[in-house]
Amino acid sequence: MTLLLDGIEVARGRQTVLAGVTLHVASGETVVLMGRSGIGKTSLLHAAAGLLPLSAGRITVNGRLAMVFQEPRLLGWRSALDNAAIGLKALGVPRRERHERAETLLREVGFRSGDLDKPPRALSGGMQQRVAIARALAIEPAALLLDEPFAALDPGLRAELQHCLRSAVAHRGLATLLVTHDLIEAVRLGGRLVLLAGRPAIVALEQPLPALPTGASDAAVFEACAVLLRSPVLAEGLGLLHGRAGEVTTAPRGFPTPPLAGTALSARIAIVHRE
Amino acid sequence: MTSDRGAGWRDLVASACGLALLLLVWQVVHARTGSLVLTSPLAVAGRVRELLAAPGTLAVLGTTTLDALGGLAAGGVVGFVAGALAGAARPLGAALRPVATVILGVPHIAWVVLALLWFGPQGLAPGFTVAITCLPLLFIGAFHGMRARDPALAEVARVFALPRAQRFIDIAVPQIAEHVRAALAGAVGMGFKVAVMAEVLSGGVGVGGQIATARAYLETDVVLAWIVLTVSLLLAIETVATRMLR
Repeated sequence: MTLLLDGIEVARGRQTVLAGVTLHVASGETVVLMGRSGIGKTSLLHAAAGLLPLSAGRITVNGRLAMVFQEPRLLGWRSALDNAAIGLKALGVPRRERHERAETLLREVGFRSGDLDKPPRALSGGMQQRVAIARALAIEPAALLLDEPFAALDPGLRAELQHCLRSAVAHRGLATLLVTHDLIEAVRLGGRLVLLAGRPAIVALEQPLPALPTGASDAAVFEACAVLLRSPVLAEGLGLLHGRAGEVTTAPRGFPTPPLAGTALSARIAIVHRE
Repeated sequence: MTSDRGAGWRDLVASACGLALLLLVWQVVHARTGSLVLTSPLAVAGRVRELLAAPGTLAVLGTTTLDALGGLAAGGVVGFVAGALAGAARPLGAALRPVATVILGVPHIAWVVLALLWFGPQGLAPGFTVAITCLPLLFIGAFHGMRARDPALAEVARVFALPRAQRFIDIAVPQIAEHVRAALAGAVGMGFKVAVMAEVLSGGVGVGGQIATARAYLETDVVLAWIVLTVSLLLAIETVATRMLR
C-alpha cells in the first residue's frame, strides 16, 4: 500500500473535523474524495501532506509525496522552468539536470517551449496549473495529492488537463488521491470513490468507479454519473437531495445499487448526520 | 510602444522645466541678495569644475561615500537580520519593535553628538551615526516583508520538503525584498545626508569637513559646489542601487 491513512482524526481549533478516517490508496490507483463543501476533504489532504497535525491515527507513505493545490501557488519571481524544478532543487539535483527534467515534464503536460522562461504572471491560468502539475511530478512521487486542481479552469481546458493528468498518473503508477466536487471528473479520472459525510466527517461510502476506456465519450461518462447518482447515500453526501434539516438518514446496509459495466458495487455504510 | 516613448519624452521635458525653474529662482534670489548669501548658479558651476579638476576631490568624495555606504551596510545587515527574525518569531517581534521605534525617534543630531562622545572627533563617528540611523529603517522593512509573506507558498515549501536555507533564499527573501527595496532606497539617501552632517560636526576629512572649512571662510560658492557634487554622487549611487535591487 503506497498511501495509508489509518484511523486519522484531525481538529481545526476545538472542532474535530475528521473522526477516525481510514483510507488506503494503492500504487497506480486513483481514489476520488468527495463530499459537501466544508466537510473536511481539504483538511484530509492537508493532513496527508503533513500540513495539519493529527489528533489521532497514523499516515504511512511508501516514497515521496507531492501535491497540486487548487491554485497554482507558483513563485511569482521565478520562471516556469524554475518553478517546475523547485522540488528537484530541494532534493539536491544539479541545476542543469533539474532544468532538463523539468522541461521534459512541462512538455509532457502540454507546455510550449517558448513559455519556459516566462514568469507565472505572463502565463494563463491553465498554463500555470500545468507548471504546478509538472512541479509535483518532477520529484517522482509515489503518492500524489490533488486538491480540486482544475476547479478554476473552463470546461475545455479542464478536459484537456484531465486527460494529461490521467496519462501521466497511469504511466507512472502513482497512488493518487483526488479531491473534487465534479462527479464527471471523478468518473473520468478515478478508480474508486470515497465519500466523506457527517460532522465530524467519516467515510460514508466507498465504492469502485466504472472502468471507462481512455477517450470514452461524454455520453458514456454522463451515463455512468447518472447510475452513480441513483445511490441515495452518494446523492445525499453530495448535497443533491433536499431532506429536512436535522433529519438523520440511515442508509440500509447493502441497499440496492444497479450494476455498473461489470463492476460489482460494494457500497458500505452508513449514518449521515444532517445539520 | 510609440505612446510610451512619447510619454517618456514629455516626462523628460517636464523634469528639465522643473530644474530650469529651480535655477531661475536661484538666480533671482542671488541677484537680490548678493554672492555672500547665495552665489549665482554659473559661479557655482565654475567652482564645481575647479573642484573636479583638483587632486584631493575624489578622496573627499570617497571618504563620505565610505562613511555612508559602510555605515549603511553595517546597520542595514543588522537591521535586516533582526527584522527578518522579528517578523518570523512573534515574541521576538513584540520585543524588538519598540526598540526600533525608539532608535528611529532619536534625532539624528543626537546620535552625532553621542558618537562624537563615544568615538572622538575622527574615525568611526560618521559611520556609526549612519549605521544607527539606517538600522531601524531596514528593520521595519524586513519585519513587514516577513509578516506579509504568503502562507500558501510556505505550505508549498513544506510539501516539497524545501530545506531551511532554500525556504529562506528562494521563498522568503524575494517576498521580503519588495519591502526592503523601498526601505533601502530611502536609507541610501539618508545615509549620505547623515554622513555629511556627522562630518560637519566632527570636522572630518569628507565632504562635511570641506563644508565646515568653507563655512569658516564664508565661501558660500564652495559650500554650494560641494552640495552639488554630493547630490550628483548620491543620485548616481541611488540609480545604480535601484537597478541592482530590481
